Amino acid sequence: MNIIGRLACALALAGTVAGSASAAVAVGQPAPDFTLTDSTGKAHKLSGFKGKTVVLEWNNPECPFVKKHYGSGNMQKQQREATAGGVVWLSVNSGAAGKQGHMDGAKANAHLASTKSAPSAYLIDADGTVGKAYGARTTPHMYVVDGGGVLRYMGAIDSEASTDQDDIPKSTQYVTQALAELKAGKPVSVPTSEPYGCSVKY
Amino acid sequence: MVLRSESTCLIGPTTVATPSGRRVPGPLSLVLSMLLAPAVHALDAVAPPAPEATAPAAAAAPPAQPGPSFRARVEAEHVTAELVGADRVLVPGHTAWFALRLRHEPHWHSYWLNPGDSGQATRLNWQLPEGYSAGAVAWPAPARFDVDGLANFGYADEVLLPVPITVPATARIGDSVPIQLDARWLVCKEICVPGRGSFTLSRVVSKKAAPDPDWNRPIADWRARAPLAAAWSGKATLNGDMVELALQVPANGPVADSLDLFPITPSTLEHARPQFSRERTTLTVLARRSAYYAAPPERLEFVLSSAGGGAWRLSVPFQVASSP
Repeated sequence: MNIIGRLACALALAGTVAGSASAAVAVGQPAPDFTLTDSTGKAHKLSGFKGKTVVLEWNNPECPFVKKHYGSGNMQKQQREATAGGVVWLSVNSGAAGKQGHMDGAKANAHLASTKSAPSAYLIDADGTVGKAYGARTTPHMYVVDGGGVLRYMGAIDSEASTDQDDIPKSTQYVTQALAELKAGKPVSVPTSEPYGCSVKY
Repeated sequence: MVLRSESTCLIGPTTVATPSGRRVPGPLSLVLSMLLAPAVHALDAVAPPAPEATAPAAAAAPPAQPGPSFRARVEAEHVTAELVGADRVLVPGHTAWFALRLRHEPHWHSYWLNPGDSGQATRLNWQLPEGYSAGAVAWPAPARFDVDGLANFGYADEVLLPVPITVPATARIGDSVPIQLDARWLVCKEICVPGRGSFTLSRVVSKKAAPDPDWNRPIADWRARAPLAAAWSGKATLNGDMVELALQVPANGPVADSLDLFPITPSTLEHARPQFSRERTTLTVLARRSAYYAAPPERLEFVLSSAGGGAWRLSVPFQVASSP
């Protein structure tokens, strides 16, 4: 195949893939800015948190992979530790209306209370715009954005792709690790990892 | 005698899980066959569900807690899981094939070793007596499922996941050996449900092979659906955010528009179906680099699967194109 043919293939492929939920973000690049409304009706703009590290956590409370980390308390513990250290933790729900895990503000607030969750805010992204901009494909799917708005981590919550709570003690918690390294001014040692979980219900 | 049970029923000294409405031989024939044959053979030979097998639950034996032994079938949410064996006996020094059989409800699927954008591969954990060892799953070539624009790799309807178990040359003739499996799976339609089952098949060690009449052929058929190791030369080159695979295929090899590709090496290729083209014996595959790509792997391993049947497992050197 000549170079033109190859280019045509590449362009055609790029065109077909762009419409999917493939990630449009990369570690080391600016994280896409967005504004979303939280479960209490308050709007949050990512760039409004300039100077603070922000964690984005894609959430669907009914997904067994999410239940692993909430049932064990792992996620709530990470939320509390992070926010106590000045980090902004944004849970994001990109579940479309009518699909599993979709919640309105009231339902989300009840869910937060019943699971003793402690994010800084629970953002509703029912049309999936922000999820798709980030290429969020699983729940959970985690992103860490530094104070300069640059993406520093994207991927799995931890190193054991499973629904079993028993696996948590032997797992490396990638977000916790990345936050500690960023705080210490070190490079993030694991900046990407293959996300695992349920599909985001776009 | 017709048993109907949603969970398990008690048979003789052991318990087994049966799908609801399954016809089970009467207790006498069961006891006799259990005396005469490896324990679970009697259950493997159970007739398919009969339409009249609709006796009320009250007529069934009281549900019993399934014991750890002799349980070969588990009715789980959206999937029925069963441990089956290709042979009725174990021959010292030989390989015995077993398989986890998963029968999914319509539209539900479980996962291949690389689940794709979401999901989780079925995991098998064997507990075997000393000297016995289980090999890797001979994963059949997977199918692709589109879930809200995300790619999932796995199996719908029925799948058998075959595993070879090596019988030690020192195995004692006449011994009854428990083959135990702890399996964990995830089944998804749009939503996902994890499942788990513990299974045991007992097999007697014998000098003479004895193929299982029900399962020898299906297990062989499913083994044949595992991708063939192809020795085609080729290479993968990362150029920007695209990976180009150039493969030298036989003249009668796969046709470009019938192909799909399933990566085995993680975090290298995107899971969306790549673009294929073929000129004479050069097959070119253009795939987007994974967003989770971190460093070049030494080799790229993947499965090519043809819609017309046939699947190949390949491993090619991976290189990064030097900047112009």
